[in-house]
Amino acid sequence: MVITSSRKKVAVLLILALALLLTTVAATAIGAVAVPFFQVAKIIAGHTPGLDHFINLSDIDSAAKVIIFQIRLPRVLLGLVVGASLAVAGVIFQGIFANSLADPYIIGISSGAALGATLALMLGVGTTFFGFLAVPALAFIGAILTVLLVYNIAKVRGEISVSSLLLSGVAVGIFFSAMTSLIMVTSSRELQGAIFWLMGGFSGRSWLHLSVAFPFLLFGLFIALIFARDLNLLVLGDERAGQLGVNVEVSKRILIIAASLMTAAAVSVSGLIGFVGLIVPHLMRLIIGAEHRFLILGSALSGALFLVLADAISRIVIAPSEIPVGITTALFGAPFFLFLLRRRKGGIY
Amino acid sequence: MRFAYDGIPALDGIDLEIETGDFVGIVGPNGSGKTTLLKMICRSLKYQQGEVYLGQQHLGEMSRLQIAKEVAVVPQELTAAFPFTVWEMVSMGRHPYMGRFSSLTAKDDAIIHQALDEVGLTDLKKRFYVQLSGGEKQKVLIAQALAQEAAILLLDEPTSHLDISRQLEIMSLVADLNKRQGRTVVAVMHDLNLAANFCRRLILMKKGKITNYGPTESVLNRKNLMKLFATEVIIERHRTTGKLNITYLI
Repeated sequence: MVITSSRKKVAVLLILALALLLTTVAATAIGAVAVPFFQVAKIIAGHTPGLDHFINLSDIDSAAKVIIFQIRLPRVLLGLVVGASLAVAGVIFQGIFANSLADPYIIGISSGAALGATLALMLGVGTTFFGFLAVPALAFIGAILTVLLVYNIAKVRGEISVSSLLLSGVAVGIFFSAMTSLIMVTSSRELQGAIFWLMGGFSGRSWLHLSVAFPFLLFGLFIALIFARDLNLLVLGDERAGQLGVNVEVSKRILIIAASLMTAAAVSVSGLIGFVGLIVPHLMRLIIGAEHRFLILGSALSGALFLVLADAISRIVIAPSEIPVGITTALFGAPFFLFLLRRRKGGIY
Repeated sequence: MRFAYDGIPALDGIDLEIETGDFVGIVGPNGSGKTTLLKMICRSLKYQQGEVYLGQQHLGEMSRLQIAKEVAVVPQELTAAFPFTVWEMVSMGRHPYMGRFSSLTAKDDAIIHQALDEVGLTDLKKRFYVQLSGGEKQKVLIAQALAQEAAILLLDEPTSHLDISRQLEIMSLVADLNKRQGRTVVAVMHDLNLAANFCRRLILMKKGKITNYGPTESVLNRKNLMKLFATEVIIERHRTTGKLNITYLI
């Protein structure tokens, strides 16, 4: 049932892209103020460079335009970008570790980002930090410092072993999580904000957040695609990859940097959203196979689709209030993952 | 050439020259440094003292990509963590020839097809590597190495997991590649009878040193094998086949 022909794989990618486009418009249409699907499509097209000259938005209510373009669209697009980023980072980490249980948080990025965000919230570093939003900025710094720390602990004689990377990631992660908990229990400030941040969500996110996360997605996706063959070979083990001509240490380092930057950027604007980076690459491997060029593109599209859907569900179920999207992804993702796990018996895994 | 794992010497005082187009077997007890020697030649391990030359080129000055064009390795066995197809596995042998931004060309496709054809796996190209039998997996690894178009083939106990008919099949395939295409073969051999009948020359190793190196007929005698394995053996020409036959006395 895994697709092996390239032509059919391309078809799957096109179907995913179309589904993502329609879902994005539909998710933008959903909300307290109902705006018809085609009107939403028209507003989005009207703001799209290249299309905006041909579309006249003067017949649309200006309140609808503001709601769609200033409030809903940036948040839906942020879900799209974060979903794609986490899924591609997941593909990279699973490839480097040659293990489908790896995810973007495996080397401690989540705990570093959480510590940074909690510090920002609890110490009340105002709303800005060096001219940028405090929480994302500190979360990003925390994530990057964690990766550097874990990477340097794991490095022995200039080489990175996968198991030491994993172990130091877990140990550093536990330490930072404990620090986060310590700050939360000793702080006199309101805990709600930090807890909500830890559960992940897109509530109240703007174009500014999107402008942070998007360049990192493009950069990471570009690196992942030009190193796709290296990833194929790394799955066969470092020694075999070396025998087939991969400069293993250099490739691993570049891939870890790309995946970490993508994850850090995604986490800093949306909090901790689990399961996307774990389950999407796994699922895509079952549909379009393990070859990384298709796997990366397929995971980017379906990760985006998955998170846009999860965010829409998060907004609908207990409207007018909403649940953190991290809860939705885990509630849907975990049972689905277990279903796949049960079904794989006698399969190709 | 010398090499040590964490200070424990694994190879010591190795001085060796292998002729182009030869079929050389490496034989010796466990821990004698056979695989380590093989890994020196493909630079999966870096020697700590000494040097290795491929023709006129110093191995230490070649990039991984350059080495992969000259030397192809067939490992003992290989597990793929994810479900690659046979075609995808063999196409990975083309990696040394592909640029970062390029895909497989028609020429690459032809080379992959030919490699699959050589090992007789053309019909299985869409199957998943993880679902194949041990012998078929070994053939995929040989095809992967063939796709590298390397003049030197290194094999690390290529048949140790296989049944007798698969062992002979794989060895005959390698012997054929050596004879027909002139590829230099260096193989760590587990089975002395296979080594006796397929290798033109043998390297005998013990405790990280080469004890004997020469034509199979002259090196493979009772005295040398006794020294190597401390086991009583009889070496004779088989009555009906006339081939070298080694019997262990227990």
